[in-house]
Amino acid sequence: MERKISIEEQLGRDGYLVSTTVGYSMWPMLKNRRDRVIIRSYGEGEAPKQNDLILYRRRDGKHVLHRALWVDESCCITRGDNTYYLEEVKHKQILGKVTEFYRKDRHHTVNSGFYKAYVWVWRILFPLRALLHGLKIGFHKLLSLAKRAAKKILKK
Amino acid sequence: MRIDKDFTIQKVGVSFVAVPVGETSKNFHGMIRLNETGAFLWNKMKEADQTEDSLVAVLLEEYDVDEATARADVQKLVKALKDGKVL
Repeated sequence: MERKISIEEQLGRDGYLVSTTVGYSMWPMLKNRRDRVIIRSYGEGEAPKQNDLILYRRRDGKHVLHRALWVDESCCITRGDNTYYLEEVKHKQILGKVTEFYRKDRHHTVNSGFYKAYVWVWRILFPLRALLHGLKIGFHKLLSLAKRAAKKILKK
Repeated sequence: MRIDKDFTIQKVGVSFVAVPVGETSKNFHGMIRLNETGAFLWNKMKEADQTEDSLVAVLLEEYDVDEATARADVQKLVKALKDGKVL
């Protein structure tokens, strides 16, 4: 077997990378350790576009796959489909973009109508999703406070 | 010899790429590039337990190669998979 090479080296050598997705930040599109993505480098003169699913390297060295929501000449603002925080990513941090993916064994491309519809609907639903997420967090915090208060009362 | 770890193979252009999924992906990080013959033999090793001779036999059935070439290809792949701790 060839020696191990880094993600950057693989993209530089063949222009593509195939990887299993790890984590929950891109649910429901991609599931942890089940689905796979094919990532390709941006071509000469090609720049990231809005809604591209980009692979980038954070300053701490971690590789992240999130969606570019807004793009300008020098950076993108990204967010995972299942996260609620924004991240600023410089273009020089970006290693490539997803062009195809497998959900279980079913192949999809990012040019398909189905995928584009998913992206559009999921983004439109963000305010409602964020509200529900906030309510869920609030509920759990209240529940935790109530449990602690109950424990204190019972101790007395 | 059998590949009992959880991998899937995807075709990318003319190449085939094996990546780990599920529990295997927790300990094996990366992708394995295979040519068409390698992918063919990989699938055979996923389907059933194989020996070097059985892999050579299926290669000879499937491809128009001589036995020496087939055996060399099988040995090369098996060594690579053992070195990479796939087998």
